[in-house]
Amino acid sequence: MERIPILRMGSYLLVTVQVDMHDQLAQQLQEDLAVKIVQTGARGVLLDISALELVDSFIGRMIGNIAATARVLDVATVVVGMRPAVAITLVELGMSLPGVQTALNVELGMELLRDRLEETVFNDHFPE
Amino acid sequence: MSTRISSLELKTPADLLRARQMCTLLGRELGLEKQDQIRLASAVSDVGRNTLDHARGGRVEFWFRDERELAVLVRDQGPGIADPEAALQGRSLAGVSRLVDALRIDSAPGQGTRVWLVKRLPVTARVPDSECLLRLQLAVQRTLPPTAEQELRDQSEQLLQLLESAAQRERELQRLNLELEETNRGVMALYAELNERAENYQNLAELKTRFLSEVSHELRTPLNSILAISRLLLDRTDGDLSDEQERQVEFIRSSAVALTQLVTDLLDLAKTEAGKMSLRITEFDLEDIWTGLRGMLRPLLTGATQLIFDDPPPLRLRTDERKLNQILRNLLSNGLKFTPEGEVRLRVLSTENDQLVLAVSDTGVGISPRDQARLFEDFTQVDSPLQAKLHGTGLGLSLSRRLAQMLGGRLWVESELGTGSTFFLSIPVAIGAAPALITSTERQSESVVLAVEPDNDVLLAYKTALQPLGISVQQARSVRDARRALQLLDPVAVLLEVLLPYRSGWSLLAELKHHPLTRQIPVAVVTDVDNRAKAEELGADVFARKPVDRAWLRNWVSQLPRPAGRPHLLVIDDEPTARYIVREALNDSPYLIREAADGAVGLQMADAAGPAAIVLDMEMPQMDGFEVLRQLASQPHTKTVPVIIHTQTTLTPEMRKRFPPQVVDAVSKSAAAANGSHHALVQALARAGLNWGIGE
Repeated sequence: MERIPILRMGSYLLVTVQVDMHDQLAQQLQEDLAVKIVQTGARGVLLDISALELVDSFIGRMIGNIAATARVLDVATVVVGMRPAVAITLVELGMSLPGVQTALNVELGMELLRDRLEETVFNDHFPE
Repeated sequence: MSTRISSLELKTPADLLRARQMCTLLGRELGLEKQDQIRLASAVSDVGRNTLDHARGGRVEFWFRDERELAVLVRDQGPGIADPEAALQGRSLAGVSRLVDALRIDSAPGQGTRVWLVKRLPVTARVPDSECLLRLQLAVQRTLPPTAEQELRDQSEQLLQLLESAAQRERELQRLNLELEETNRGVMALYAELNERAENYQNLAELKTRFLSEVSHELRTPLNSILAISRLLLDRTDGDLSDEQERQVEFIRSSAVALTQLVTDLLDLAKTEAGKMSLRITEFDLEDIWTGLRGMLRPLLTGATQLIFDDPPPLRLRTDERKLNQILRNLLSNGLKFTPEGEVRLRVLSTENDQLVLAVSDTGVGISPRDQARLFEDFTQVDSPLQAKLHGTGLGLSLSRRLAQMLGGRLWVESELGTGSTFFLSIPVAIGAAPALITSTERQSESVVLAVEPDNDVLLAYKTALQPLGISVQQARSVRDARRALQLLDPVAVLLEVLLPYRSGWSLLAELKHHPLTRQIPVAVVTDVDNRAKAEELGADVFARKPVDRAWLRNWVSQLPRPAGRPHLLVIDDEPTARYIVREALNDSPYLIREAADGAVGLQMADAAGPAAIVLDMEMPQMDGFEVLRQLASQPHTKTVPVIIHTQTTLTPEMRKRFPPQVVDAVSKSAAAANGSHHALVQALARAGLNWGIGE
């Protein structure tokens, strides 16, 4: 059974979808990621979908679900590298991926995650 | 113009992926913009997923439509949708409809669902022609190879189909088998019935023969009394007779003489049929026969018909004089009977090749072809106005033919209605002496016993036992050898051991006794196997356990008649291998096979021995096939022998035209060599009228 690999980078998890994702694979990814987050105590997830040529409503929903699951586990998720055509299609489908942080590329996504983490740390130290 | 470019089955999520890839591929090939490719693929993906979820699968078809549209049809046989319009307004399909130019749903509950997704091609895109579409189809097949799963599914489906067809075939075979069994039972029943009938006929024939001979005997005694007493009266032993009385007694006497003749004929016939008539062979001159016939037939002459005896060539005969006399007397008196006016002539046609050919021709009423066919049957009388006036027994010709056969010869007729008939008699000049021509070939013609016996010691015992009788012993070690030997020999008897390599001797025994041509060869089963019952059941003439008693064997063989001559095939061919091939082809035939290595010898043999058929090569060094054919056709008794051309040359239609009518078939040597089958030759021989036996 093929699986999408989940890589650990410090306190982040990096998921790079390199294959055309079918439904089972997306579901599998959702479960694997949740387990991995708990195992590693990761603080952020970077979901790179730059290789995905197509995101239909199901996969769109899956991405949303992944982000929501991560958030419940107190982990921030950034989806990076979405192709313009995919973005347009998703919007036309009526899916704007609410609650999902996006960034243009991996680098910006990392920055975003780091910012968020610092912010959290800051907030921890200086509660309002 | 609408063209279906491709279609695929939708059964698993993996298929959905393929459908998506196909959308992108076709979109790209047909000039759809990248964004639109993705739109269409997404839409198809969403609709296809619905199909998977709700209808457990269906099909996706890709169409090119001439309104410059790429249309994707997703259809299923699922439960269907009650209100397609409402479904279109629903959240998920509303999104999909935004991705394509047109979205249509045909569906009703229980009737499955058909969803059309249409994407218009941009005006800048070129319109594909049919060739381009074909290329596209091929490209699709190439770039989207079936997944392993798909392949497995296809294979198992094929396997199922194969299994089903195999099962069906088996059922068919079973049915056929049953039918065959049924037929077989029918055939067996038929055989039994035929056997019974054959037995009945056999019995009837025997009864007839016995009846004839007894009746004849019973009749002859009183007839002899009448003859003797009328002779006494005519001799005036008991006083004088008035003129009137003398005439009356003359009538009585001549009637009695005629009756005696009839009875004698009947008796002779019965004797030949019972095989009891024996030949009394003497040496005499042909001239003597002429003298005798002249004297005998003079009283039959009436004024209007002339009886002409052409002077015979000087010839010394060694045969049964009385029987030859009887045949000719019959023919001549017949001729006189049916020739109210004209002439009846006896002449010698040929004395070549130790064969005497005589002709009795008349200028009488002639015989129709239909009557010719049954002329030689017992009691046959030709319908003619003359016949009504004439008395006859209808036995003369049938008896004559049988007598001719006893003399080793043949009797046949040629006739035309209204112009007369000619009867031909051909007999060997000498009976008993080996005809020179046959010995000039490789054949043995002395008396020989065929011993089918693998053991050399037993063979030696046979040889010493039979040597004093002047009979040689030919050995065959197997059934196959025996068959081959039977092609070359006409044995006095067969001594058969049943225990043979490869195939048991029982089969040979059954074969020999089964076929009419070999049935008369006496077979002694001499074996270690104690199964007298089986031997007798299969038709063995005698049965003996080993070791065989020499005196007994000598006794048995010495009382056997010498073979009368089995029908044979004549093979005329200069190549020994070709002759061998013919012999092989006829391996299981009951015919003797005689061979001649050149045309001249072949002609002599055909002339002397009257083969049942001739297999003739066309290209021979001294005398070629056409010359042989010409000479065969020029002789009255060889021109009817069927000939099969067996040749290496390709026969042109012109060559075929030169064949006389007696050529029944032409078989190519090379064809037989090429496919290793003698089928054509065997068939040709069957066409020539050679009876292969019931086993074929």
